[in-house]
Amino acid sequence: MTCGTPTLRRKGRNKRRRKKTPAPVKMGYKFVCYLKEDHGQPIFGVQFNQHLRDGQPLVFATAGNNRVSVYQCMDDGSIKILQCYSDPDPEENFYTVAWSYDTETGRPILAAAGSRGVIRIFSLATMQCVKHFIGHGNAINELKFHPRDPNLLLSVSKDHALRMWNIRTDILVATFGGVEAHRDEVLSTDIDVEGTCIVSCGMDHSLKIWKLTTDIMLSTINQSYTFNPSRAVRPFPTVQQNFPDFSTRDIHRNYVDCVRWLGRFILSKSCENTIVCWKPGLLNQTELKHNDTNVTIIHKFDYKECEIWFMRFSLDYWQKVLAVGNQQGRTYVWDLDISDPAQARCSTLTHPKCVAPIRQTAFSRKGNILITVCDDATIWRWDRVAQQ
Amino acid sequence: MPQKKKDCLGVDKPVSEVQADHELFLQAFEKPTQIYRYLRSRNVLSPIFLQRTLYYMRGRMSRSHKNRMSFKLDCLLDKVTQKSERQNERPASYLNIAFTGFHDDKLEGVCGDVARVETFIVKMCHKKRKESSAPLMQVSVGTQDVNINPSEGEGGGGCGRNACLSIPTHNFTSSNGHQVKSYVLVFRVSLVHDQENAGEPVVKRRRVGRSASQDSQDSNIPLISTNAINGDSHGGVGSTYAGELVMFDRHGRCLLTPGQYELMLELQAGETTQLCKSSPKKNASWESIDTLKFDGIFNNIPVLKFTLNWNSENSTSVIERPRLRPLKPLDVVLANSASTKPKPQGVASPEAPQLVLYQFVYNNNSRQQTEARRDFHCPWCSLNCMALYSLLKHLKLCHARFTFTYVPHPKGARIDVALNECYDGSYAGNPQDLVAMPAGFAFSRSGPTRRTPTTSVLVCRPKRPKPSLSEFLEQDDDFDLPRSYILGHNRLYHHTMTCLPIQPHELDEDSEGEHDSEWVRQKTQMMIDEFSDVNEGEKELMKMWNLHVMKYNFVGDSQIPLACSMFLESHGTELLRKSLYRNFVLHMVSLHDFGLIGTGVVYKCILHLQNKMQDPSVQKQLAASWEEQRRSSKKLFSSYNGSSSSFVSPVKQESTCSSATSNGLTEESKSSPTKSNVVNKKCCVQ
Repeated sequence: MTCGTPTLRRKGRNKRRRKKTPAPVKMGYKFVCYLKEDHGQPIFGVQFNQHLRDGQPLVFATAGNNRVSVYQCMDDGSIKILQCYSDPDPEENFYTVAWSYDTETGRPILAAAGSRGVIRIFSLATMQCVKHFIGHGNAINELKFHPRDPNLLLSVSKDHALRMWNIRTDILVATFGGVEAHRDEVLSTDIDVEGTCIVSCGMDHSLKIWKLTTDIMLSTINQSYTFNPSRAVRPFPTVQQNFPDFSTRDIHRNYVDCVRWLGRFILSKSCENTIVCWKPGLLNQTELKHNDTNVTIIHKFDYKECEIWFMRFSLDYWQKVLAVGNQQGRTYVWDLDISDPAQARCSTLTHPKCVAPIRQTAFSRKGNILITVCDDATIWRWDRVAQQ
Repeated sequence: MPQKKKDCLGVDKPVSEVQADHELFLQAFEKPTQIYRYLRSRNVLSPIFLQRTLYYMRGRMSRSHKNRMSFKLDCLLDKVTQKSERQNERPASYLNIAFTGFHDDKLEGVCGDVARVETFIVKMCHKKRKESSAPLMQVSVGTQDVNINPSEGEGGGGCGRNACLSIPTHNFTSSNGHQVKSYVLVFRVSLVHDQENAGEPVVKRRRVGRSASQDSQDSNIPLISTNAINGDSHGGVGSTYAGELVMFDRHGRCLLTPGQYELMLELQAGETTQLCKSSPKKNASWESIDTLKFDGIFNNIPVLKFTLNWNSENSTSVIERPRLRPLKPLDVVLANSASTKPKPQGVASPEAPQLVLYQFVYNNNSRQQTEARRDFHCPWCSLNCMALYSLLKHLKLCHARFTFTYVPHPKGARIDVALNECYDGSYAGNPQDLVAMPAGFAFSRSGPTRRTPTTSVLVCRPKRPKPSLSEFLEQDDDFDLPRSYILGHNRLYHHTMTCLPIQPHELDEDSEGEHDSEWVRQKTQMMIDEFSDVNEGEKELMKMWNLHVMKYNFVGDSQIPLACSMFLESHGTELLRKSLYRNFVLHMVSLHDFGLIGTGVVYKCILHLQNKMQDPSVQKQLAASWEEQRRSSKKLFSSYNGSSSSFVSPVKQESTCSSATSNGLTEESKSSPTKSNVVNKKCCVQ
């Protein structure tokens, strides 16, 4: 097995290099450098700051052990550490990071959370943990900022629920959990580009879609900006959303540990060596139905040796490249910039020293740098090879 | 030599032992000590509280609030007028200064000469915020000639009379224009030789300088004399000396009591020297009496002697030289440019230097080390606690990582220091501080912050036990510790649904007691909607009834009649609008079947509902739905002949279905239900 795959890979690569003619444009990522964080514990999360545009530094953050580290990808191919935050509790284990920015000053904001269930908000300009949010009953598995409103933070937790926070006013806007919600840990979530729908998945093998465009959600989000806790007598009327707008268990047969919107489609993975691209309802159906039992699978991106859970894939900002790592330290990259998903070509990135499970991958905004983080506290940088 | 070696060997073992012992000592005390050292420097840089405000640190508080006891609002005006009067009648209307002489040992040769004393009043005004230094105003009030080194026994230098200066006190009123902090009398003495002296040969004057330099060699203040030489040789005009005398202290008290003064003067580099460069406070420093050697200093430093008194009359410019009384030691000696500070009040009277022995007990109480101190400084914070009680209290409260036990000792006090095994570092304060946003706001280093409003003690004046050292003695377990006086609570509660901490202002609102939360209502409706063997009308009635029962939480059979009438009251019209008349009647019947309501109740309820039908809008609605249903039923049953009665006819379709329902109910009625809830459930289960 182990010797079979490399030959295949080599063959594929050679073929591509030799031909250089056919239609599917190949993705070439080349190993540039790697570094190891000194704690030696798994790094579970990595995120590029995709709010930084062309010409601005390429900055990414990692979460592992009780540390949150901020790095910069240098032009010479190296990685430079910029800042490192360490939780006072040595027992803390950060799982996830997310980037946003201060809407007033435009300064970057980094959110991190992990096993203690405390969301920490770091202001990188002042180098401080400026806020923290408690409320989740257990570990937090993923954080996501609303794509349209940088103040809205979505967190998913081991306590079977999702929460949406307004980090500007420190208000819990909504919880998504309860009677019809996830029955086990929620592992991953994503908000679509327009900010209208949340998709979440978890250990109960299910994927659930929650609309954010309902009247109550819209008005509560608005209210969260104007609510004055010191004046109000009653606590903020947090929305308790118990009923998802769509729910399915038909896509995966195991823990669903990563999910992303791809336009109106959803990419999700379980520990079954495949990323499934699917959509709720029938192919031509546009509306979500609460009791809909139909799902349409568009495509499956298969790869190998990724049977453990909590392995995340990622897309670049323009959603043209998809990357996932496996438990042998191999990274699979698909070019999605094609008209037919069946044409998506997979390339594999390997390095003899990269053998630990790759927990998460992250693309820079342009997709020209891929960062992967491993269980052995290593961070790997892969740069896209210039195409002719 | 060999013996010494042996000695060394003999000592060697104890040395290692001492080292090991020291290791153990460090092991026990190093970490907490480091922590407290860190906290100390942090508290010095940015304190979160002031020691002097602690009640047991009263010794450090320099303010007494005695005036507050007798304060009355009405007295406010009186006080101000009194104060202004007092200022107006400053001891007297004139301040008379009679100069008795200018003494300088270095000027022995010029005995009998005259020095010119120019007196200035310097007003020091309050510094305004933007000004970098306090504004100064300088007024010259007069120039007098004073004898140099007049002999004590001599009746008077040249004329037997002394130069006298009178300054009207209105110069010192503190309320003219600028708010004046204090006045300083500045004396500038210049050695200007009068006509007779001017004719003296230069050599003589040189001699003065030389003699001064010779003097300086055996004196220990060479700097001044060198200056003197320089001033002498460069200017050739004569040296200038200056001295200052502060008139009022911070509180507006007059420092210049009548008496004889010897003012030490300092040599000025030149005539241009600015007087009173800075406020005297800045140069002031405390000097202990031991370090001051009076003999030497007064012998070598030029001194201006004068008598000062406050008088109502203007003195003539020259007065009789008074006979000198023996100078009382340290009566009023004002060092140059040093203002006297009032002694801080409330300082614990300096007790006899006591010995405080710290006995560090470690390694399971098996080892100890003793350290002695002669003062009441905290060994960790180096905070001067002024008294033993304060020290012990401070140690106990601020250094909780250790335990302190006080043991009386013949030489003073012994304090046994041991590690506090029970210390867990947990936060004992208000938990609201911990969750306050932003993180660690309560401990914010950027300044004072608002206190969290949970525990608000309005008035609490517990009788404090008299401070006594006995509370630090080793205590038996049953010792009655004074209780802490926290009223209210010091707990943090959380919202049940969101798990967020309950903010203090939300405490009074108990929002989470309701038993029919939105999600239960929604779920109930969704579950009823999923039934496949009941029609839409029945589903509607089930939802309405179930939500109604859930809302009011009827628990007993006896409440069912009430539930029915309330249901009709709130949902009656809606029922009719949705054409659920027959469904409701059927529901009443089945309730009766289960023995939950009597026939009377059924009758009353139906009557109630029929009364509601009188409403014209309802009638219109009923007619419309009847029409519609007749049309649809015509399609279904072409042979059907509609009845003319608007009541009986409404739902043919429903009546067939509801018969099915009643069948279902009778089937299940075997298991005799007793509670209304069960009936509800049945209703859903259908």
